[in-house]
Amino acid sequence: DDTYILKFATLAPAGSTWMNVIKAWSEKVSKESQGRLQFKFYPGGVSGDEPDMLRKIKYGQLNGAAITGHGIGNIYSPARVLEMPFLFRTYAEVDYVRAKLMPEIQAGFRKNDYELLGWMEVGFVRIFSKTPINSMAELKKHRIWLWEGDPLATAFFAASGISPIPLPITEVFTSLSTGLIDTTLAPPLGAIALQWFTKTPYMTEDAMADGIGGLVVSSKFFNKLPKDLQGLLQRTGNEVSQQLLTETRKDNEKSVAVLQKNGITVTPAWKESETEINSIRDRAAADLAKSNYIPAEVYDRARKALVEFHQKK
Amino acid sequence: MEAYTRNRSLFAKIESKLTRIESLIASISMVIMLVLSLLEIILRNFFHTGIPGASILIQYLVLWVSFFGAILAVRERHIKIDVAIAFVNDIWRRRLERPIFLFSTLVCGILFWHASRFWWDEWASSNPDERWVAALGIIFPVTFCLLMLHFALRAIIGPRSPKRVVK
Amino acid sequence: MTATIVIMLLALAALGVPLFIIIGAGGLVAVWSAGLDPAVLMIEMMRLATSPNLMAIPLFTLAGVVLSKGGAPERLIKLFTAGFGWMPGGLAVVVLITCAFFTALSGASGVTILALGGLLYPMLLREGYTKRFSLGLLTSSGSLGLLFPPSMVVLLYGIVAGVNIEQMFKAGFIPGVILLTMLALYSIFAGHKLEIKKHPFSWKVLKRAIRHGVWDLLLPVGIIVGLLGGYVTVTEAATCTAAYAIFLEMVIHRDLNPITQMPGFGKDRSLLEGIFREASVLSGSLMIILSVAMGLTNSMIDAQIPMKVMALLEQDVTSKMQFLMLLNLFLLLVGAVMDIFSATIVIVPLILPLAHRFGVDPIHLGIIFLANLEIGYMTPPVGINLFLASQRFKEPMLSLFRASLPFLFIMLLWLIMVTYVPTLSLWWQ
Ligand code: NA
Ligand code: NA
Repeated sequence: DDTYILKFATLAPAGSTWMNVIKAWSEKVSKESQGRLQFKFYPGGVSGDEPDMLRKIKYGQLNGAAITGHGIGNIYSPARVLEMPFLFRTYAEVDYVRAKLMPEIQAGFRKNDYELLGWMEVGFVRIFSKTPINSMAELKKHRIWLWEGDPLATAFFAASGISPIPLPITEVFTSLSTGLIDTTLAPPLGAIALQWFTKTPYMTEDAMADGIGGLVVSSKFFNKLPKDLQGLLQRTGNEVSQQLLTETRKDNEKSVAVLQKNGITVTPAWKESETEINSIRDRAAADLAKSNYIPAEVYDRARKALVEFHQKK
Repeated sequence: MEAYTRNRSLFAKIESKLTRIESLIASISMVIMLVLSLLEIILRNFFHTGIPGASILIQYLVLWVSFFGAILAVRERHIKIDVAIAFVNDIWRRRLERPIFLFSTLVCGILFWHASRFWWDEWASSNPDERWVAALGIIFPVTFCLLMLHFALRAIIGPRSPKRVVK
Repeated sequence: MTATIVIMLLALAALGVPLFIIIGAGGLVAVWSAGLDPAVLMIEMMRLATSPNLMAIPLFTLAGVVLSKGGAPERLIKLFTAGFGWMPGGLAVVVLITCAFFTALSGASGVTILALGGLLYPMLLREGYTKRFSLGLLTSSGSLGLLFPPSMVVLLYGIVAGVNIEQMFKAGFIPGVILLTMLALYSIFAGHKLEIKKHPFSWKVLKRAIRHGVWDLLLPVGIIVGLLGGYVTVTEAATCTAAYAIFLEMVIHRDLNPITQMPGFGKDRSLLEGIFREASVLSGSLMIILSVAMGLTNSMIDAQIPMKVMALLEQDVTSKMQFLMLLNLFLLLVGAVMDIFSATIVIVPLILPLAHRFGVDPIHLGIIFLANLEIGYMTPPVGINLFLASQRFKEPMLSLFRASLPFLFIMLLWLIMVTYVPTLSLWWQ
């Protein structure tokens, strides 16, 4: 007899693939619950950057969100081991390690007052820049965007000796136009959706990390729901996140072609040796372990799972 | 300044002392902000490096400069849409001052309470590496607390005679 | 209930309660009636801290205060009189062009009046323009360059609407020049009617004036070269402008004492009249309004009010002409109560699909939108130019609004042209 309104925010703009899939999800939920559970959307960043959304969820203005690794870090940071720079090279690696870690990630979310409805990806993150970047040394000479308040990227830049420029994601495009920054990090799909690519004619061949994402609702809201609606939300959330995962991977692949057709030059793999890049990665990981953002044992578990995956193959 | 020293009441003295401290904070923040951003420009453009954390510090200094300016503006002139005041005579205008200041005190007091709550939450939930950023955010409760205090002092001290209005 | 509270707050505002108190109280009432935690108001304030061009406001303000307290107005008035005094309304035309340029490069954040107002106002008065004309000219000039690159507002529209930014600037060029020309013609006419003394032109006088004012002239030249050449960003330009202004007045011209005037250390007025302090008060009284206004906007978004208004509009509109007329009325209302940045984020996504349905080009829509919001800079109750001019010139908002009425009328004429003659924006297509 009671109706529940789920106020749901995301950075993805209205009309984007993500938002379309999420809208379809809401229609399904509304139909299957006979209108007892309905969504109210705040897309395109009208509710602010991801940390702002999470703050609004905390104080009850919003109930749920589709977020990326940046927001996930504010909920349960160890999950971000899945987007550690230069750790994963293929989707198969990612899928294997994620499956191993998923139970503890879900528990971690619940412990921090969130229900993780589904896991997704923004995809492998490339470096987009105004001038070509062929090596780590050249990267250092650029004005690189740092997602403000992102400890993972901060640790990575510190380990590489780069001083980035912290900005909220909602300010990146204007800052590219004004020259405040000349380099950004994004998956190809994101670079198109946010129009950043129009300002950056070069993109790296190498991917830095696999950007993660998730569909979350606050436990406060979730626990208030009757059992059947909880089940419905979990089941459909899981389905829709599977769909988002496959569509995102497909779209990212297509996006590279679209970018090239739009005159984006892909710069070849970096000259730096694997050991050099891995040493930067491990220094960043050590740094993150020190602050307990990603505990050392979580990083070790992820690496062991990766080794296991390669042995099985 | 002469106008204030003539008023020797305790509350006027408190107000005057507070204002001096606030002016000092506003001016110093402004100088640090300018120097830091100049340094950043030089380091970034000529040495391809930067001061870690400087951009975030500058962002908050902008708030410190501006909000302390806003606190100082209580004694001078805040932006108003006082359309009706043109039709009110001088006696009534002075009678209205105390209730206006009391209402402003109340609103700032409520905002102060919620700003404190919010700031405490933010500080407690920030991870150790970023605690200094959360600490800088104390500007929000501090601003509303001082605004409340100044409006209250204005309400107690009461209307100024036209001669004693600065500028 | 809500209506009663709104009317009460408006009455309090009219009686002289500071605007930030009114908006703050409105924000509190809005969150209470929506059943939200008032801490969400603070979330919005935190968002203000992270906006990267915010720093430009206090720094451009500082530069403006330094220049206007130093000898710059005197030097520039000599220079402009020598250069343009021979034509009727010459100085007013210079004011228009300078402000338009400055607004564009300061991102239309409203700093034009703060940075240039103190400088230009005494110049206009000394040249013999009436107080009313001068105030009107300066109040309306504060947002004049809104359509010229590298205006932040145009960038923001492009992002939100998903249209090409370069095309937006191309589209805005002719409308921007037309508005400048219309206002310049009016100023020449006014200068003629006011019988402003024309100065006979002399190379000798001009050369001497240039020698005195060359360092001041280098400031705008530096900003043009730096910004358009891509050497500096807006915030860097703001920093350099402030630093240069201080250097100019303290070292080159020695008009400002670094101890008694900059921080204001004096015998018994310690720190109370310093320039740093004055700049912080000026930018602070604006920033505190911006920060509480963000909380109120958040409540409107939360209640999905803009979406509901558009749904109502959608019912009764049948033709393109009707749509454009209603759109202008709606946007003028929006411009009255919202600032341009929040309006762009909130309103543009709503009107885009409607515009599409009635066959309005999204780039043309952008120019219409920005033209309306440009007028909104000088319409009460939330008119940034009125606030800033009121603060800068210590005049009540109502008399500033009255003073800018002739300029407002010209801008409305221009708005009609821009709305119903799409070719002005789309000639290059
Ligand atoms: Na402006
Ligand atoms: Na307005």
